[in-house]
Order: sequence, then structure tokens, then C-alpha cells
Amino acid sequence: MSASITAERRVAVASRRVSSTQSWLRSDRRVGVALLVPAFAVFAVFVFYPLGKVIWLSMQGTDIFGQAAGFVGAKNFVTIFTDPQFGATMLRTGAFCLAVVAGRIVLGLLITIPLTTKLRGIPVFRALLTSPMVVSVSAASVAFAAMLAPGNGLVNSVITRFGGSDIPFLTSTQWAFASVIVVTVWGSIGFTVLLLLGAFGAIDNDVIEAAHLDGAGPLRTLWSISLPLVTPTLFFVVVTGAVEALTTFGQIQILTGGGPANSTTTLVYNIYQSAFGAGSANFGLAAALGVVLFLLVLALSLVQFGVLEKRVNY
Amino acid sequence: MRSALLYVWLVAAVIVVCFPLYYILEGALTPTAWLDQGLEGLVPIHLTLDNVIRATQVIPLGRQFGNSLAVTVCQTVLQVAIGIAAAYALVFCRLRGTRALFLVLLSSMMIPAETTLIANYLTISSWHLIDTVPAVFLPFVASALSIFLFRQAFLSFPGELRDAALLDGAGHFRFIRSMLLPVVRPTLISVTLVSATAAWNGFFWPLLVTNSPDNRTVQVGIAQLSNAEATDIGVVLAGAAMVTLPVLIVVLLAQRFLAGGITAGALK
Repeated sequence: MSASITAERRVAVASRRVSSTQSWLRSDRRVGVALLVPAFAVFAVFVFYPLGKVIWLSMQGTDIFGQAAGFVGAKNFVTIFTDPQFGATMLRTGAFCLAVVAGRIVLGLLITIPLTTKLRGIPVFRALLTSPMVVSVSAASVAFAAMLAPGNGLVNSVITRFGGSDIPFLTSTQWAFASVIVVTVWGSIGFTVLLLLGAFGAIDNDVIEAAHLDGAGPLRTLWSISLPLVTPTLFFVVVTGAVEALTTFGQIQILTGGGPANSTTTLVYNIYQSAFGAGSANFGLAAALGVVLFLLVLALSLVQFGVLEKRVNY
Repeated sequence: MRSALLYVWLVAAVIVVCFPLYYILEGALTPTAWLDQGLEGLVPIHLTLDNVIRATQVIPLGRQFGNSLAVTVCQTVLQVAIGIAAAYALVFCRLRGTRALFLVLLSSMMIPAETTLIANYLTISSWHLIDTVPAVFLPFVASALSIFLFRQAFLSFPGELRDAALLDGAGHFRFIRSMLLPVVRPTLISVTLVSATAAWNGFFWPLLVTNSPDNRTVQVGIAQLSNAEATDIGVVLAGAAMVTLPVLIVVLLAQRFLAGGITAGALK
């Protein structure tokens, strides 16, 4: 008798507990959905909808006010791809990305490798050599514009003092492109060194010591042990560096305005000029260029996720 | 011998890498006439605040500083709050389809802002927000990277502990504030610093959506200062120094957190 009451009670308690757990789970889910709404609303309005809108705009004509004016199919893309200027812009953009990425990798390694030795004062050197990170694109560009100015600019005043002649760093087709590359590499070197320091720091010391015991010198250890072990990070720097270089804007806008004679106009600067440049508001054309940029960034991102995920997870 | 060579190399690297930063800070406090001397101008012996004062007379730098500060605070606070909320939901709330949501987040990182800004410009202008402070930060109040970093940190928090706290009657907000966030403090600090620096340093988008000098951010302001006063190097460098100094100070104060946060983002 009493045993069956206890059993009944136990069943009742258990079922109440199950139902309360279920309702608790349900309310937990409701809260979860509510907490996701802000983030996904922002992405919907400012990332995914604009992407769709840009793809739609890329197939629209443009009236004199820059507004969309009717479906034109692939006309904007035909305009772009048959324009010899566009071919030149894409080649320039590619050369810019290659030069910036190569500069970052080579200088980054040349600076980081000595920083991984056990010399006295290394923390100070590390802090100093990563410090360019704090300078914004805008501040770096105006400072370099001042340094590279003709006449009284610092670099030219030194050149002329030692008997050279004034170099038009920012105003000649011969120099402007290289100047923008140098400023961009400088601006990204601090971050590159920080990333590489992290990668070298993560190498197991036992591996290095084992190599030493086996008679490998420092250069041999670096080449055969350390560098292969940091390749995932090097690869990360290459891909994200390429995307960053591809989307460079501030340096070009401030240093050269895309000139002289378009010699520093890249794909992104071309988007800006087509949509917002003086007297040429053509949102359809700008959107088509934006779609080209999206496809390039997408390809680079897929390479990154494909390769990096495999490497990092072994 | 070898360490001497390494020191020479490192010192040379410091001179090359840090020179522009030195030039900005020294030039900001040095009269243009002395800077114009070339090499001699690099010796800081005529220090003055005159450049800074004249810079504020050319453009409304104080006002622009305020705009940048407002943009940075709003963007950072919202990005962190929205990031914590989304990561909490993804990690703890046993939602169905989190994998799909995660893929949506991943894919949003593959869409460059330089592609979407044409459409975002049209959106902001249809909301009549062009030339206002909200226009500058609204598109960036959620960041996929911040959500990722918070998610990564939350994953190490034991789920049973959270269930126990909630069954004991703690609300979601109370749990997040007094149990979760103290545990993930390093991530909280580094995400805050990284998003604040990005907000403060923005250039392309603020340039597009503002147009009157009073509504510009300070980054756009100093670019226009450099354009207007190109030959007055001291004034130009004073502008550059004023936007750099706040970041420099924050980074010096919090270097270890910043380094950890950035590499966590890179190696996610």
C-alpha cells in the first residue's frame, strides 16, 4: 500500500520534473533567438541586403543623377571588360597586392627572426617594432605626404643637400605607385611582426633543442624547422594581406588621389571614382566593379578557409 | 660577435620602422620654419604647442574629436553588447540550426565593405542620416569577428555550471554579468580594444557619409587639414599626432591584452 503510494508519487514528481525541464528548455530557446536578432538584423540590413542590392544595381543603367534607370543586363560588365583602362587598373591592382604582400612577408621575417633570439632588451625592441600599428591610415598618409613633398619635404631636402635633384615622389607616374606601396607596407608591418612573433613563439622549444643536439646550426634550424612550422601563419598573412591590399583606399585618396594619369588607381579607388567622383556619379558601373571586387575577395577567402582549416587542424 | 651584428640590425630596423612615428610626434611640437631646415629639423630643440593651436584654427578639430569619440563609444559598446548576446545564444541556448547560423556568419566575413558601401550609402541617405554621427557607426554595430572571439571564449565555460545557475533562479543577464564575463575578461578587453581602434581609425566610410566640417570625424579632418595646409608641415603633423596619441596611450596601457586578442583572431 505505502509502497505503491511512494511509487505513484515518484512518477508524479518525475513527470513534473520532465515537464518543467521541457518548459525551461523552451524558454531558453526563446531567449536565445531573441538574443540573436540584433546581430542578424544588422547583418541583414548592412551586409546581405546591400550585396543583393549591389548585384541588382550592377545590371541597371544610370540616369544623370546617378539613380538606377532600368534593367540593362550585362551592359555594365561589357563596358568594364572592353575598356582598356579597366585591364590596366586590374593589372595595377594585382601588382600592388603582390608588392605589398611580398614586402610584408620579407620585411616581417627579417624583423621578426632576430626578435626570437634570447638577446637582452628584446621586449623593448618588440614594443618599438610593433608600434606602427597605432598609426591610422589617415595619420600615416598625411605624415608621408609631408615627408615626400617636393622642395622642403624632408626626403627631398636631404637628397638635394647631398647633391641630388628633387624627386617628385607623389606627382610623377614613375614614382607615385611605388610611394603608395611603401606607405602601405609600412602601415602593415607592425601587425605582421605581431602575428609572426605569435607563430614563432608557439614553436615547441624541445624541437629546436633536438635540432641543435643533432648538430644543426642556427640558420639550418631556421630554414628546416622554424620556417616550415610557421607556414600556416605565413599563409594567413599572404591571404588576409592580399585582401587588405585589394581594399586599400585611404593611402591612395590622401597621397595621390589615384593620379597622376591614373597611375595609382586601383579597383577600389575606381569604385569610389565611379560612384562618388566629381561629376561622374554612375552607381551602375560602380556596382559592377563592386561585384568584381566581391568575387576576388570571395575566391581568396575560400582559399583561406580551405587550406588553413586543413593545416591548422592537422 | 653574432649578437653585436643582431643588435646593429635591430637598431637599424627600429630607426626605419619607428621614424615616421617619431617624425609625427616631434614635428607636431616643432615650428614649421625649423622643420623646413631638413635634417636639423629632426632635432627637437624648439618645442612649442603653436602647431596644435593653429591646427584647431584651420579646422574644427575639437568638434571633430568629439564626433570621433561619439562614433568610437557607440560603435564599440554596441559591437561588444551585440557580440556577447549573439555568442551567448549560439553557445548556451541549445538552438537548432546553429551550424547554419554559423555559416551565415562566416559568409558575411567574405563580403568586402568596399562592395556593399554603395548600397549602404543609398540606405543611409534614404534614412536622411547623411552628415550625421549615427551614419558613421550604424553599419558596423555588429561584427562577425567579435561574435567569433566571444564564442571561442564562451565555449570553454562549462555548460552544466550555467544550467545550475539558471535553475537556481539567476536570470540570463545576471549569469552573463556576474559569472560568464569575469571568466572571459581577457577576451572582453581585447575585443573592446580592437573594435575601438578600428572605429577610431575609420576613414573611407566616414569620408563618404559626412560632408560638413563640423560633422566630419577627426581622421577625415586631418586629411583635409593636410590638403589645405600642405606647406605648413608642423600643422599637418600636429593633426596626425592628435589622432595617434589616444591610440598610442591605450595600446601602451593594455599591450598584453591587445596582442593576445589579435592573434586569437588570426588563429581562430
